[in-house]
Amino acid sequence: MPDLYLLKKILALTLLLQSQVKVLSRIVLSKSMVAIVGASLTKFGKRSEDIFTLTKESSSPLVRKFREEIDFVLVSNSYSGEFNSISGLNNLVTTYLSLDYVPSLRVDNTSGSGGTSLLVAKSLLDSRVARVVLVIGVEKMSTKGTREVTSVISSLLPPRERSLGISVPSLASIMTKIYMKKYGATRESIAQVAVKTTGMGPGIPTLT
Amino acid sequence: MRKEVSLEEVLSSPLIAEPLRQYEFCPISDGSASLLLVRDEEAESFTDRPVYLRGIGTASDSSHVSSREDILEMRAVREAGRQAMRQARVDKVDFAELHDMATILEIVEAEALGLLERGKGWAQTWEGITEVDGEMPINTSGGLNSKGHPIGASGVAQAVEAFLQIRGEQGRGK
Repeated sequence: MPDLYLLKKILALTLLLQSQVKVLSRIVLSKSMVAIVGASLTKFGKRSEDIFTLTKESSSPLVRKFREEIDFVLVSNSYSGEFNSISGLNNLVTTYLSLDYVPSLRVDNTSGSGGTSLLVAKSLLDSRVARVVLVIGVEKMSTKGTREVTSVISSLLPPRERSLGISVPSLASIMTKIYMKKYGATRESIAQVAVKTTGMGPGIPTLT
Repeated sequence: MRKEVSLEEVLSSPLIAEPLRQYEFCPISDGSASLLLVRDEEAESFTDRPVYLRGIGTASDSSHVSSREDILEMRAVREAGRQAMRQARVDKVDFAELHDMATILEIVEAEALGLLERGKGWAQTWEGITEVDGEMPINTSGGLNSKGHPIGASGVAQAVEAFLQIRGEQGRGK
């Protein structure tokens, strides 16, 4: 005759352990994984709209659907001061989107701003500072001419190198020369990247 | 978007920084891209097809390019990629979105990440490996090279492209 009391005890303990494992795994998983649940973008190019209209255009499909849920906004932007004479862009954007009471942050890491925004979004979610994070990347550059844009962007170089006349395009040129020499690459093969990318873009079939 | 260009057109476009020409640099551009992120346990209450961020890496390198031992090494790219792949527990990816501010960058970044062979990325590009139907599709969004590079929006737009590709929605209805 089995000891029913003991069996019940073992069963209860097993269930308790299982539920604890579930809770633990949820904590571990939530620390390591976040998910993108919505995405949207505007057409890129020379746009007549101002920076605020652009943020509204890309974010409105998400804001319309999840307005009440969004509890943090990250604005990925590098040059609103230089190109648009705007400071405090993140607060102005939340107000423009009628998300006045939602806290926000502008993430600037030059060309890495978008990727860094994902890292910050994940950190906000992992730390449970936020539950639903809206990331809006935006730049309005066509307000200035090519020469001025190049000069502004080249200000990311350290003064010592900048004073020698180095710009971001000239670094790419140095890199190309060294690469071609070191590996015997043909000029055409480098240019082929542009042929390939201009043949892609919206409208291309989904990868299978 | 920049229209489709031929090799002859690229190589005869105005010279910007010897030997690179205009069509090899991303055009100055305006634009915006948005994403919504939540923790995984809630994801399915927002959409029936969430895209999980299984790995994310971050790394840096000296701002003094002249201090870098090898200008082609792209140390930060290599290290950030390694971290992301390690977290995601994958050693191979199906496609990649890279920062092709200039044509050469797509090649050296792909080599740094191990997507193309070091020193052979140019030949593999020429063979068509990075095309949409190639073994390692790169920049199916058109890259910065054809879309333009609205700086703060570019990285977010790359994630939008990955989201659409993984959900099988790129190109649908366009």
